[in-house]
Amino acid sequence: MLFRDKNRRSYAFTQLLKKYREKVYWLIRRMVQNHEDANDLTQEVFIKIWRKIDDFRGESKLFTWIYRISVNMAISFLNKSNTNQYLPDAVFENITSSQVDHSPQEDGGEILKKLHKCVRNLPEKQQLVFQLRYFEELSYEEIAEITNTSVGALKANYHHAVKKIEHYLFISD
Amino acid sequence: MSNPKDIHNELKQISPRLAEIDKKENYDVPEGYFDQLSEEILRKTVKSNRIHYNSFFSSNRVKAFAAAACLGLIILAGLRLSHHKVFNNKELTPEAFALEYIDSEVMVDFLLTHQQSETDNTENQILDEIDENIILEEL
Repeated sequence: MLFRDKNRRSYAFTQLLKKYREKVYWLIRRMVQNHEDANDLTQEVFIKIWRKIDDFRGESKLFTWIYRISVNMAISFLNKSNTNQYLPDAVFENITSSQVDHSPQEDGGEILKKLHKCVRNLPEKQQLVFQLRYFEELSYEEIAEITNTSVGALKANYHHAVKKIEHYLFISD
Repeated sequence: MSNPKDIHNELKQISPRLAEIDKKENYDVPEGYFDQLSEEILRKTVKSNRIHYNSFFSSNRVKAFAAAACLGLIILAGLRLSHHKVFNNKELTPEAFALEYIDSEVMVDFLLTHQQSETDNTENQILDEIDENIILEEL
């Protein structure tokens, strides 16, 4: 009976892995940028899920629990490696055209690269809400569960984040 | 998940230009990466538990370690016993044993020497006391 349960547990985990491996990887990859780091962190996230799945009480949705683990691991990694260099608002708004090339011919890929770079320089809360709203297309309620922040604060942070990115990408030249 | 259209409309209201950007991912991953990732994760989770459990007691390395541990225990027990030498029916520490041993050796030497000297002295005394003439008579 125990063995059968173990098999069922393994099967369930394999299915969960198939369902969420890409979502978790891309969420982390957009935060840490580097493939090797994203690969390591994605593995760590699923190992943690495997070990802690008994702690999941179903009070939140499974995917918000998985996202919360992923986001926390990525933030912790960035803080440790000191690669998260948030720019203060004043500095952000004074970024000059010498730092960002806004040639009219640049394609969508180039703009997206700049957008990623810009997101990396946002304060942590704004960065998170932008990642989860813009790229992951989550509702504010879901983001609130993941980040443990109120919906009102998230809406304000998202608004600020979008305005800063717009300024960085289109207005500062 | 939220309705992507609602999110797009919200973005359009805040920043129409940003809403025009094509969000298609510009990062890439090696071909077949996600299958390899799954394999790696399963190896470290689901499969690792089984392999770890089955191979732990059956591997030669573990057997050798267990044998070495038993041998170590035997040696340790032997050393422990040697710490409690018995001297004159008393259990002694190594230091006390050493002192007792030295004392006993000295004592034996002393007694032997003393006995010898006593014998020598007695003989000398007797010889001194006996009249030399009688000796000569005997001779």
